[in-house]
Amino acid sequence: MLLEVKDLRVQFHTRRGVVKAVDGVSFSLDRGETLGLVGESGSGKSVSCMALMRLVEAPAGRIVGGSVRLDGQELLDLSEREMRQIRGGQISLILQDPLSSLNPGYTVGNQVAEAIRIHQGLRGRALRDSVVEILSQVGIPQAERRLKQYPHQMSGGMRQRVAGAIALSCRPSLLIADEPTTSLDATVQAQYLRLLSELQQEFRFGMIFVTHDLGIVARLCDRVAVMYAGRIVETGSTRQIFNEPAHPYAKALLATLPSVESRKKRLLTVSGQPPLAIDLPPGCSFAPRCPEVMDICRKEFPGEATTGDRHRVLCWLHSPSEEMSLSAT
Amino acid sequence: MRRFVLARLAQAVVSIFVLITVLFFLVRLTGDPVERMIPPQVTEEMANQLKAAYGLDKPLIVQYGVFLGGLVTGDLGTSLYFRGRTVGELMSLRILPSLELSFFSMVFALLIALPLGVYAAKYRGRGSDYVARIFSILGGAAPSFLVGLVMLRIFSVQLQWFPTGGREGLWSVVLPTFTLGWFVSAGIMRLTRSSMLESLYGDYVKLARIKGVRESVVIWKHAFKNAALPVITYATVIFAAVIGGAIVTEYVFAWPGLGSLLIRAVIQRDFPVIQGSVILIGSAFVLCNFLADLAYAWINPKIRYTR
Repeated sequence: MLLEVKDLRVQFHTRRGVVKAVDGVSFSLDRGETLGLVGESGSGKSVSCMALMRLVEAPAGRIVGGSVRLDGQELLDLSEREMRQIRGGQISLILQDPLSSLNPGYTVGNQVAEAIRIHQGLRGRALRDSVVEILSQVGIPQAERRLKQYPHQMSGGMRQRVAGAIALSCRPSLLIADEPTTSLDATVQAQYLRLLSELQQEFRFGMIFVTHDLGIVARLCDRVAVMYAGRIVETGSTRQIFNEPAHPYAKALLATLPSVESRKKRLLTVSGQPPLAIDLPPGCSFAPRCPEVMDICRKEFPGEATTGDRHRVLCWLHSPSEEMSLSAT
Repeated sequence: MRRFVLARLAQAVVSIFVLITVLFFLVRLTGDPVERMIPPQVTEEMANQLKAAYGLDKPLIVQYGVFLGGLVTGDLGTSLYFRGRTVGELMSLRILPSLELSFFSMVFALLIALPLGVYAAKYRGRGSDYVARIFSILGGAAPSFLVGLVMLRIFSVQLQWFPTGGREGLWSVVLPTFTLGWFVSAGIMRLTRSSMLESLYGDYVKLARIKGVRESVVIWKHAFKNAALPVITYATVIFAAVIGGAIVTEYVFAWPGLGSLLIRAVIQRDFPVIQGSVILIGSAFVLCNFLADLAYAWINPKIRYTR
């Protein structure tokens, strides 16, 4: 197992109260495997990813519990210095917007070189060769000539490739891609996704792909985790989630996918608003919007139920036995 | 890059020309200097003679031509108040002290304001942030004459570490520098802080941390370079303003600078001196802006290539 996350909890202390942005998230990932992390904005996807790198904005945000193991090593116990070795070295992250994630004040070559210099200690000629090599690998033509260019002189697609080059420059074992294609247009997006899977096959890194585009998930991911209000409410193989979604929220999300047959109808939405993570309802957070809500959902939080091989769901519809077994013991 | 520099240079020349022209006519709206130069009992005839001697009897447009012609040859005219002394002579005595005071004050202000602003942003909402902000608010709010007088009282009169005024030796510049520098640092610090706050939450700073870059490098290499743009503009403008505008500080410490010369000239309607000083201060202002533009282009490559 490459990555094992158990009961990860991240809280933000704000003036209005404590926000439980990530509230007991657990999942695991193998080498070469891709996990799609889906959910609405504010469901805690990005914060979870940043928490894996221990980059939650201090002092307001704090990882308050859980465990993150990479190749068996507990990351939450490392010193800040040791953690810097992990960041950019073993774990990398591609941010959403390639324009704002590259520093406007430095050349592309400089920005790609920085990570390699830090983690592999290369200097001079060797460093330069290494930068050119990774830029060519992410499909940037005439990489040599691009070294001296600034981000604003490149197109959005090229910039996102540069971001990819930075992320992959030190051969990480885990790549987190936080909606990396949202700001790209459709054709560039398709190219970029193809590139990512090619590189994944070549380098065998595990990938967490954050998105709210279920189409991408279907094409790219081996497994899916659906997040809602700071929790993973359902996780399983892509096939399981798409063919037999168990959680009402996952069902609703899938129903929003437009298809050719449904084009005459109105686009479907998940009705209602996601709850504010500041005052979550006592029971299941999805209860207020759930079409299949029951009395128990509003009172108690459901335990985890297994509905198939590595297919797990947090919902009373699937775990009525849990309560009984709890009361029995 | 060369085109950029030439374009900015042309702009600078035009700005100075406009300044000179507007200045020439505005100054003459303030009244007749001859009234101030002569006792009231002097006859009309003598007054006219005096006017003729200074060329003040000719039509404005002719005076303007003469003035421009003088400028080209570097002749700024003769003072109406300090009889017989040329404007160039009067100003040359004042330029060095003014530059000295403003230079030291700026260096002092930047040395304090930049780190303070950066760390206040980094530790926003915590103790060091409040200390930095109080320091800056005091610097901006306390009038220079008050700070200056308190400094004099403590360090010159009681402790006798520094002279009480004038410009003799390096020690004499310390107290005026502190007084002026503290005032100037207030604005620079606040601007640095707010600009850093914006940049610290930028995605490129996040990416630097993701790459495993050390926090001090994240702050100074990645965040500060981008945050420095507005600070540079502001600092150069302030620097230019301080060269001719440190009037209160100059007065408190009897510092022989341009500011006090200009004030006396305004009170006396000493047109040539006003013109000379304002042109000099204005040119310094334009020059500083030009340098700021160059620094901008150097820091932000976008500007270099798009204009």
